[in-house]
Amino acid sequence: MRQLLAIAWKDTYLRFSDRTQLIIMLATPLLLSTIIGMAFGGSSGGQITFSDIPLAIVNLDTGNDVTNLGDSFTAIFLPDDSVPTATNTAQCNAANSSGGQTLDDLFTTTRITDVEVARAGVEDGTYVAAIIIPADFTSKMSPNITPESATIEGAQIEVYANDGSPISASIVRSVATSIVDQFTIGNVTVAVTIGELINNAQSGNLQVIPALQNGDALDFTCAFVATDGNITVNQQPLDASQEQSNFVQILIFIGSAQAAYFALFTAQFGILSLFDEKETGTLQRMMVTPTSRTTIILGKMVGVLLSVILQLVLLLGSFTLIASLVDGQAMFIWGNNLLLLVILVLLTVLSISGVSIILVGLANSPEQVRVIGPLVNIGLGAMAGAFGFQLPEIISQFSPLYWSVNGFQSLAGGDNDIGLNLVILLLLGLATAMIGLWMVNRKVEV
Amino acid sequence: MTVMVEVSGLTKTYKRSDGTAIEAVKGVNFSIAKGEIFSLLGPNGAGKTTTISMISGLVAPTAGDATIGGHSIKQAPIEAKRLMGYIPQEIALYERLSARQNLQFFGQMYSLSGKELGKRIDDVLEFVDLADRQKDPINTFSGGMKRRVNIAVGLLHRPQLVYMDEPTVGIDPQNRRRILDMVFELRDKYEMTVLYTTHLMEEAQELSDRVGIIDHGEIIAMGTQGELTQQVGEEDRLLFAINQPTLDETLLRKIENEVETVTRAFCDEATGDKSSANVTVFAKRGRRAMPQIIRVLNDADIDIGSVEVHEPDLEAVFLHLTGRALRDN
Ligand SMILES: Nc1ncnc2c1ncn2[C@@H]1O[C@H](COP(=O)(O)OP(=O)(O)OP(=O)(O)O)[C@@H](O)[C@H]1O
Ligand SMILES: [Mg+2]
Repeated sequence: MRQLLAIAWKDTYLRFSDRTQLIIMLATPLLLSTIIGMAFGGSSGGQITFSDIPLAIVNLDTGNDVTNLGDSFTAIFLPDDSVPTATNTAQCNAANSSGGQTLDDLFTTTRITDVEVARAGVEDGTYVAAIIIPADFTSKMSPNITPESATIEGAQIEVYANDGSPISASIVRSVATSIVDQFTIGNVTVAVTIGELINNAQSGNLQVIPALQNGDALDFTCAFVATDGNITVNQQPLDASQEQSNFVQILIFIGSAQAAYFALFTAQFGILSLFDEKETGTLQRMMVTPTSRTTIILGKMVGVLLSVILQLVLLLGSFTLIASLVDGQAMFIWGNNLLLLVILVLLTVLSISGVSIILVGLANSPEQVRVIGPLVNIGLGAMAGAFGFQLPEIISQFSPLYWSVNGFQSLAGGDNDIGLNLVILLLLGLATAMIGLWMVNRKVEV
Repeated sequence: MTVMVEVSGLTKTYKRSDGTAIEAVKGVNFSIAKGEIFSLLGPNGAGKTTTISMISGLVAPTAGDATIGGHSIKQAPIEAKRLMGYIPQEIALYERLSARQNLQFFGQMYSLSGKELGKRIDDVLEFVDLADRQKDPINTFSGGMKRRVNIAVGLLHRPQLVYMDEPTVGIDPQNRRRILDMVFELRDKYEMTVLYTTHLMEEAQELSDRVGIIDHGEIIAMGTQGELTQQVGEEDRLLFAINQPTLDETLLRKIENEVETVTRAFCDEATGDKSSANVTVFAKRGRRAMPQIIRVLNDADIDIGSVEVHEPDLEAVFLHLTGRALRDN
């Protein structure tokens, strides 16, 4: 038991002491949710709205024979620019142009060919930030496939920002990040990280943690663009939420969905760390101690549960704080029943971990999980509305995340009747966790 | 003699994904006495790591068993594991944790805690001479320092038996020296038994009480270095430092002709100050020949400064048994 806890604690500590992981686990969902909340929830609530942020984009990407990802990236900001290799962005945009705010509204983007001109523009305040796509963007983002493995070197996109408007600059960064995120996910499996908040002097960069496989780079940009316009569709017509501002309502919806979505990654990476440790030899090192295999594997799993619980609690707490700050009054946005909330969080963690374990258990190799995992997560997240658009319930209900998010929304809206949600999450969580654990256990042949 | 490790018929066959099999270890037998440094010497891919992995309970043997202090690694793995410290070939540490945090974690895996754990961490850090860097994360350490932390982790619970799998690979001579000295200290000061693997003849030669030479998954020779080299029938090299600039040809011929098993004797050039010289004698049985040679020299009133016997080395043994040089691999 002592060993089990030592492992769980070690893993949790490692996860929460790693800046990169913190950014993925906490900063990204916080920023994205807040930004989306502000960008689209401000209209009726009288809160801060961001729109027409002046932005420069410099695409130095030389591409390769097949494609130019830099052009695709640029096209998301400048949909009207005709870019031959960019595929469906324009169509997405056309399809969406009917309603709501898009990236177009959020930014006023100018394409610039000379980096120095762009930098100067940022420095003199013409632009809040310049997104600079390096010449080797496509080549670095394209997988090197060998029979054993496929890797992506990972490209760096520079966001050169003006510290005069830090909030706008972080919006640029986070949007850029999330787009690269979609790229790498469509193209490969990956987690994207944002560097530190930047200022004039030191520009940050984006790093991509690699994995494999290729596919259509733009598959998910469509989802992203579609997001923007449709968020308001999801406003809750519940009594309690009547008093809440638009911003808070959107934050509740998008926040809980994003929290659960990013928790999936934490769980998945957490379980994969079992194989990472096999790679680095620390798993073997644990196994030569007088500690049973079962204890070691359970310790790792408890570590995952702990991390995800911590992540959800921190995220939900932060959302409440952000809501209070933005609305200018102290409030707790997750309803009035703390016990139910705690149970819902725990069962959410259980089901998310269960889904991740079973995925790892089903896959042939950790590499395969790194390819398929993020796609599965995106699917599960999309079904729960993590990207702002809602799928028909007949589809959504197959995602455990849907039941979590639905539960959080109900609680937030003062509706404590979430018994069905809890039962489904419990059964799903137990079943997947147990089957998955059994399968994973068989895989960890050292 | 108490037996610490008893290995019998240990076999490991790995299956490749294409269905073919690799016989990594083919039924090896050996035993290690308590307090002994036993080396497994063999080229890359010989099966050293696989053998250690099996006797540390990491890899299930295809056949055979090993007992550690009387506990079968198959039947009573937890008891066996309590006795052993394992120092893996590759550095296996948490890079982002400090040296101390790594030790703390692995100490907890041995059910150590509190003051006792703290004390032992201090001790091993002292032992590997890294007390001053203990708070720094591993990823700020040099290769040699990482190696030493890697070793410290394996010693934390004061095991009776330590496995060291090529602990000097890829490090500078200074750190290598330190590690070799540590191995002696483990045996002499802490009375530990050491199973050491290496592909370097010099290391096996310097360290080991006994050596097992392993090749293609089989132990092809085993014993003390003396036993191994005698078995090959190579000649010993005897070195006599004499306190005069040279030695008469007639005396050299006399040694060659009159002393048993001597095949050749010659005198090197006088050293710098011309007051001394080295006489080299090759003999099949160096130790037996030595007193007779000394007698011949004494009779001729030659003043002998020092005498050395160099046994034929393990390199020669490997060459003899496999027709290949160790280093070529
Ligand atoms: N997990 C494995 N699966 C398949 N084959 C393996 C595995 N581990 C080792 N082998 C094979 O077993 C043989 C022995 O490998 P082992 O690692 O024991 O050698 P070694 O003596 O430790 O070599 P080195 O000096 O390079 O460390 C090699 O042919 C190796 O390819
Ligand atoms: Mg080896």
